[in-house]
Amino acid sequence: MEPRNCDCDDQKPEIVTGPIHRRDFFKLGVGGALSLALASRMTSSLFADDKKPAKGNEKYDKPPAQVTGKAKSVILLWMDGGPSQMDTWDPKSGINGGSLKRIKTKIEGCEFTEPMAPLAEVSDKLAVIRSMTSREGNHQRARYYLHTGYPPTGTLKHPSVGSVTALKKQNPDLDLPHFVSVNNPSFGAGFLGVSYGPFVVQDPSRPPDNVAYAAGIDAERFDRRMKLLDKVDGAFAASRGGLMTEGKDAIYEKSLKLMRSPLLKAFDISEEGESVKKAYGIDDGVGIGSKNGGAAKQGQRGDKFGAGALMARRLVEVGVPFVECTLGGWDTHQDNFGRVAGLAGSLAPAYAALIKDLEDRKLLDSTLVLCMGEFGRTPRINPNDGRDHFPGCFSVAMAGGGVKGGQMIGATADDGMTVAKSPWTVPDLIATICTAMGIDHTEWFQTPVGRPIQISNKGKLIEGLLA
Amino acid sequence: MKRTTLFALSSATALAAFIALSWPQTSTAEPKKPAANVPKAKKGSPETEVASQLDALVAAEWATQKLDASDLSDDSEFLRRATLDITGQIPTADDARAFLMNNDPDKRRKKIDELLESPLYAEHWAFTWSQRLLSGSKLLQVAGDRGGAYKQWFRESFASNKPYNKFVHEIVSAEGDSDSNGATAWLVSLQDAGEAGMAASASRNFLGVQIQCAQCHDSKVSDWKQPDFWGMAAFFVRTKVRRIIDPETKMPKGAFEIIDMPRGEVAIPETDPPKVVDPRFLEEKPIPRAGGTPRSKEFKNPKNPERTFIGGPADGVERRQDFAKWLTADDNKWFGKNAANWYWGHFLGAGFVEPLDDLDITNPPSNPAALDYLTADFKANGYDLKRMIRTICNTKAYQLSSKPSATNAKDDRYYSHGKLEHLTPDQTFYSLMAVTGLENSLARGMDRDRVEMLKARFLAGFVFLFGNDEGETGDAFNGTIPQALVYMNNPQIQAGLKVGPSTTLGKILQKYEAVDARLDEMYLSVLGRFPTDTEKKYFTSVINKYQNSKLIYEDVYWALVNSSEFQFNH
Repeated sequence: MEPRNCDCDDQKPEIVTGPIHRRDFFKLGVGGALSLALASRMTSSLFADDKKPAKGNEKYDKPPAQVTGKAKSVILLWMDGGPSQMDTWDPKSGINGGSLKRIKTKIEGCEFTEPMAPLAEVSDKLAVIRSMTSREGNHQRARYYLHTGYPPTGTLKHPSVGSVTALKKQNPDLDLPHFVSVNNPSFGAGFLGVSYGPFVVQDPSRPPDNVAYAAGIDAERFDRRMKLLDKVDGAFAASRGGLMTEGKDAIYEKSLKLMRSPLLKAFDISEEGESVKKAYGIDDGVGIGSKNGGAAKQGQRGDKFGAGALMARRLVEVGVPFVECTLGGWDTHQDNFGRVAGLAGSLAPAYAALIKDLEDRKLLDSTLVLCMGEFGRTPRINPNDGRDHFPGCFSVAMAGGGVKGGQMIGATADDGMTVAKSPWTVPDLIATICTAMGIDHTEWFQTPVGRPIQISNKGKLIEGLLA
Repeated sequence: MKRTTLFALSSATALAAFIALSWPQTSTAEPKKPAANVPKAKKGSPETEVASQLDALVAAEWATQKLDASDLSDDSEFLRRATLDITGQIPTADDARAFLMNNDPDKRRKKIDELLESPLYAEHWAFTWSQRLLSGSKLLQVAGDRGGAYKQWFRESFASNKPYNKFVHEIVSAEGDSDSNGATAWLVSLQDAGEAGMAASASRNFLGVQIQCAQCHDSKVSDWKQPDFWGMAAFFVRTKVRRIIDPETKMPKGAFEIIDMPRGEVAIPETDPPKVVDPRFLEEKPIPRAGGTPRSKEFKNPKNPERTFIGGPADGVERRQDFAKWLTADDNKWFGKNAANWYWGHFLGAGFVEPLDDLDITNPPSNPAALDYLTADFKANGYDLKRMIRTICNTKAYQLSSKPSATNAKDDRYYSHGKLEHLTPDQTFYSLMAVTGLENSLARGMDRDRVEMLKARFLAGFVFLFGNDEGETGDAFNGTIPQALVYMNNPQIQAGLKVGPSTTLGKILQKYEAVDARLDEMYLSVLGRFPTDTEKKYFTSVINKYQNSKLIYEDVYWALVNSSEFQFNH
């Protein structure tokens, strides 16, 4: 079992040559006291480029393993609140089964519930992992865990897999952010640094915040402002100089490029035809973004999710490597079946449309589309007709990006209480996402305090998943 | 303990021998002399004297490191830095003008005193400490509609200049519920993290000891062993944070209560049979359990192998109270030093020890004598935080210009030049409020509570957008595109940068007619200084070229707000 709350390195000290981090230095166990004198200097020089591991250390200098993933982008459909596996991907008969009808899929021996019907239709593209297991049953902790592969420690912030992807798939020719999160702030880059954090789109029905010129400003006037800014900044930079002012200039330049990028229209779903919108479950735009559109809460949520999924496709189309899109409301302690039916009614058409749409555009092979939440829900139904938190068993679905579709991986027991076959952990899931993207998940990062952290928290590739 | 051997090895010969091996990165690193020349701290000695002593210690290090110090900051640089650091926002145009025109040679010292007495001091430090201690999700819950008590508690602690040892003692020993005792906030914020999280947070924040690695295994980077960590966790294992349930509706009320049970032992996770750990203070012997050993049948909990709590016999010992006492006692060797290092680092841009929260023996200070002296003065004077700030801000080291000299540009440890730092989220927010006059616009036709609520919501947005993740150190710019976009285009801020009836710029244009008077006031409002002759000449010509239109003023004002000089604390 993986250790709880631990991400420390348990590797043996290594023989190191050249400059190293002070932490590693002490591991050597040689010249203990001598290091006292050196530590401060080393710390300061090494913190200067804290994103990059120290050179000269075998662990960090090891070239990344050749990972032959096919995917160029990931779309993460995040089911916030903890979706009920037994009422979606892994239905059961018997006392724990619940009231949703079960339907057949194209995968032999694999049933979904009825509200998932659109997904049953594309199930030949889907791999359903039914044997995910974890121990984190608290929302916030589990959200962190599923996004980073590490349980929260309180002392170190780990990068989310979206941030890792943004870092490892940097494309200087792409003016757009590399990690976009729709409907949810998601999780940041932690010790990798804020520049790899998510670009958050609060409302997919309108352009991202602060990208458009303010009222009364046009390109010409903006240029004038930038010229005046150059003038103000010139003297300050001349006297202070250095990385800080240069870095600020670079960020302004990038921001301006984003504001003026023709790719920005990838954020604009209004360019899509009505039939496409409809397929994603976007009704008529009434609900989304408008506070008094009159649509029920559930409907608004579904519209926003469909709009986010559609935006995700548009972003992937222009090369954004990681897009997360959230559908919230899965914390169904009460009225589980009614609510899950409604939520699945939002999820299923959008997810299915996304798979078909990507396939039509020949993008499915290069886009991993996965669907997960922070944990599963209890097989036992509580007195409020609800289900409670249950990290012991939950399901994750994947399509595209080199995933072998039309299969089930692992299984839960008949009563849903335990994993019956091939349990897979959250670090395994992170390792698999990285591998699909051609990222070496065994690579080590160095945190600012010099602790080595492996991307996937020592996960293993989920067997049989990738073709 | 092994650390003593580490010291024993620290002989001059060993050092010399090692240096002779010519480590490539260390040609400039000198062995640290033991802190021999630490001046004696005295109760009630004037802060300016303490500051001079600190300066002498810092200057000695410049000589050793062959660094020339930068010039003293000019008045506008000093005023802006001190106002941001002490009160969390930039000086107003009136403040700046008055300070710059003042010929009193003692005006800096007086200004520091004045800033410390400003109500904004308590506001800023309440925010700074709650950000530091209450990170994570629970903060939002506690800080939501029910956050009044904790905000109030922090604010009052700083407004009354509560001694730091008392402040921390109240936090760690807090009892009762979160609605009536705001000091419970730290424990509440650690509800999910449990005893392990409480121990790790207390150790890191209040001792500067990074013991958390020993949670899972004996640390390989320091001497801490698993029993050290769990021995500290044993002081918190009896403390539970629960949501208060409304007796009528049976629903959670939103407030939390702290409950201390008379029993409870901690076991190292996944040990079989569970290894029960006695409580122990760092580097001290384990404290025998008053009630004896838990019965072995309580050990087994096969359903939950990682469970660390074991019932055990009730002995009624209030362990958390014992811990709070030990933590804040005068003879705790880390407690005062950690605070001194943190405050110094906060004001100077780098602590004597970096990272700020890692006072481990393996991570020595850059200037042990200065750190020891500041610590001793802090303790000798009743852990007086305002005194510590007054001392630090009166040092020459704090008041140096951020313009580097020919030799010191790369120095980030010896305080040879002023710091260049990003504004923190609250500094950004309040400074933008000031230059836009947004608060005035909000205040029109809105009641005070609603203005406060909107402000809080807006501030939360800034914390989200401008909050750096932990461990962001170094001299690189850590800004992001979304941050730059806020400055460039955010509709609310842009509205505030226009010429309007209640905007700052609108008021400037109303009050002054002449172009150069307007430019003076714009520069004072945004940058806290007068424009240079070159700047004045250039912008006057631009403004004239565009026929003195309000649009061109808006453009110039926008450029000032978007400048590095505004966005950095320098």
